[in-house]
Amino acid sequence: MGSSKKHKEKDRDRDDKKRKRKHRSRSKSRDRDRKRDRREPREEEGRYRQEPSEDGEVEEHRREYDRGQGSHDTPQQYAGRQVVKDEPEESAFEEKQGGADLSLSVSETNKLRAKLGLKPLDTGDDAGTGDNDEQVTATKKEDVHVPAINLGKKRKEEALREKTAQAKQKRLYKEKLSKLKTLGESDSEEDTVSWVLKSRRIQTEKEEAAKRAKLLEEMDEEFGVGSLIEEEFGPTRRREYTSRDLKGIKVDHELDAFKEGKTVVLTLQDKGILDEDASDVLSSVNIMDDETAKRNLDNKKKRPDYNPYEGEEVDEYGMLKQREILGKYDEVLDGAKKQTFQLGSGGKYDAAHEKKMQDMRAAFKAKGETLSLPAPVVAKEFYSPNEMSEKFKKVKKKVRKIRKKPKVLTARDLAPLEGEHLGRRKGDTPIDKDIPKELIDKSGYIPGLDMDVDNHDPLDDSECEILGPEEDLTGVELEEDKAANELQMSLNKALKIKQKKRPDLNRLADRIVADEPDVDDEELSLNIRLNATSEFCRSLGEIPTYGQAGNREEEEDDLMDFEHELVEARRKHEKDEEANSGWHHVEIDDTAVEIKSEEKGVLDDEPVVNEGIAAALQLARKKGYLDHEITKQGKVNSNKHIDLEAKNYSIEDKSYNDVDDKYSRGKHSRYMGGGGGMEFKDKDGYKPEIKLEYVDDSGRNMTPKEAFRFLSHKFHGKGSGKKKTEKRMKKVEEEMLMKSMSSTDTPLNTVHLLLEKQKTEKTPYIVLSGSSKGGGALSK
Amino acid sequence: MIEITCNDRLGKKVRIKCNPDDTIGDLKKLISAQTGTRYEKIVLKKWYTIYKDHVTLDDYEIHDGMNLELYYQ
Repeated sequence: MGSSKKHKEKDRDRDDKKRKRKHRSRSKSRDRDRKRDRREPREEEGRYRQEPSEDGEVEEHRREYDRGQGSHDTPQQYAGRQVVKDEPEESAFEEKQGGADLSLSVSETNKLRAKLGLKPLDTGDDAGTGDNDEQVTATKKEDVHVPAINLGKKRKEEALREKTAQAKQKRLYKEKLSKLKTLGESDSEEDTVSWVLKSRRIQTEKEEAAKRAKLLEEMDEEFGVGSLIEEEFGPTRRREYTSRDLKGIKVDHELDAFKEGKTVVLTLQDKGILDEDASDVLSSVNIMDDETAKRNLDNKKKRPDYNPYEGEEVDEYGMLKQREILGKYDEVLDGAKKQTFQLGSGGKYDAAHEKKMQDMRAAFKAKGETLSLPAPVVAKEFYSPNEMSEKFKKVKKKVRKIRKKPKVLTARDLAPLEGEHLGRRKGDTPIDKDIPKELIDKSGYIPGLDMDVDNHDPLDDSECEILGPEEDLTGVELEEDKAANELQMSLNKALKIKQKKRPDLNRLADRIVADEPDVDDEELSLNIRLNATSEFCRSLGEIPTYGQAGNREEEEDDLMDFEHELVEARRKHEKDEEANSGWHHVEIDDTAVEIKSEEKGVLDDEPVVNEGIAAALQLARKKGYLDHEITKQGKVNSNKHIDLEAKNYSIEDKSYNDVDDKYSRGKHSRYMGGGGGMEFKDKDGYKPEIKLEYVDDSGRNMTPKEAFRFLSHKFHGKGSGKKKTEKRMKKVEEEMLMKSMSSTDTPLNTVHLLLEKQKTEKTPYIVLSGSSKGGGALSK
Repeated sequence: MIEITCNDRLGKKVRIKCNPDDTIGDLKKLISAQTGTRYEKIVLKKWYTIYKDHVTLDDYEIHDGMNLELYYQ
């Protein structure tokens, strides 16, 4: 506003300029004024119009005043002026306005008011002076302009205040320091002479004081007060700096920094000389270093400040700590907070209180319940050893009494020891001993003993096959080697029989040669047939291995051994009989007929059909009577079993409808679409066989693919090209040829031609090329 | 003293001198004295607010030179 001088000056300048300009163009401006007057009868301006406005200068002034008053004058002043101006022109005003408005003069109004019982108008007349009026307006609560705060001014004031404060402080310091002498001053003040004098004086004074003291002491002693005095002043005189003086001194570290049983050297902390209120503070350099190191470390591993999910912090009493706004800057602004404690009397600090507080805190915490759940842990499949020991207590093992069974020979005992012969135990079987040496021929073969057990390698095929390929018999329990015994017995028996037989046979042969056979022979032969060994062998024959390992030969040999002669004898006997009876015995030539393998043709032989259906089918396929198509197994089955399926079987009898069944309607309506009336019933057992067959122009059956092609061509009215059709035709022809040809010949009957050629030329070969060189002959 | 103009736009326009602490009722009486209509019949309005008789001009913030609308009921 106009408070600053500069503004005012500027305004004034502007006014001057305007005035000058106005002077120049006065006539014009006046014209404009008049025009405006005519145009609009504004109330306020109307009032001004009453003024004698012959002189343009005056009017100019007024307008300027008008413009300016907004900025310069308070409304009160303005109001005052108005009122003042109004007064003299009252009468003229009324005359002018009379035409349009009805209005009364003040006096008339007052009269009227008196009649109405109202107090008279309080115009300037009544009040007397303008001051009074101003007072009235002031008393009324009109708006009072409060100037806006000038920031610039305020700042200036503040700066000034600061300056004065500084000056004041400076003065204070100066005052304080003025009492002291600087080091230089004190020296420079005295010259050597004065210093000597002074020191001397001091010395003399000291001496005098000592004398006086001595005197006094003597006097005290004389009066016996000395001891008393000593008692009084003793301690003060002997004053030393003890731990008692440490009372109230602050220690600048946490209590936790001091550990029991450790001495820490504390030193007085530096402080400003000019600090007035500073009390002594103790601190330890080492601990301080530790603290800084710790702080640095914290800064290093500081996480980002922003943590929206931070839980509320709880203070030592379990109450929620109020989080401060931008608390993270507190340390930066105020400096780090340090925990300190004050030493008590005797330079001690009692930590008991602290401990008590801690206990209380702990108790408080214990009371509270945490709402936080334990942190989720990934489930593991196995217990850790600790968990194991927790969950499962070790059950004491009961010492079980093991009943000792009488030892039974098990297969495990029979398992071969190392180095021992697998299989037959040579030692304990009496086979070797029992069998006479002559019976065992060179190959180690015992005739009549089908199983060549002894001299064979235990891993020999035959043995293995009997026992099974390397079977582990450890699991099998043998019952007293029953089988072995049995075998033994049977073997013995066989041997006995043989031994009996041998001489018999010899004798028999002699007898046969000598005379006619008797009935004994027959009996003997019968006997032999029922030979135990042979029986055994037969029983062995049932084992699938029979005949493989020479069992059968053995038997044959066996038979040959002692039956050949018999057979021979019988034949002779028969011959003799025949000769007697006149019958001829036709000998069948048993010699093997040598079957020479015939020469095979180029192609396979015509397959023989008499071997079975399979062969017939093969032939049919080869000849092309049967289409070689592999149909799907399922399809075949379904076709096959059509006959087997029940003809009159349906899963649900749909005509059945229980009237009482309340659900039946709903069910039917739901599943059958709700249509009323009778359902369409399929004919029972009607299973139409649908077979789509397409036949081409030549009457051939077409495959589905071909059929589709045919249909497609028909539909589109456009067949495939000439080449393609030719190709297809050729293929069909070939197929036909293939079907009609002999299975032993090529489709072009080349074999037949070849044979014919050979026949005519009578050569076992043909010349393939009759070229000029006449070379390449191919012999067949 | 303030001067108020009241205008029914039917040909009557009156200027009335009054005190700011006069009530609207007083004003109406003054108007009736000048125009000749009964004061009970006068309604003073400014826009849509009908001034009530017992309130002073000052309270309605009616100042010098203001125009009031004059209606009759």
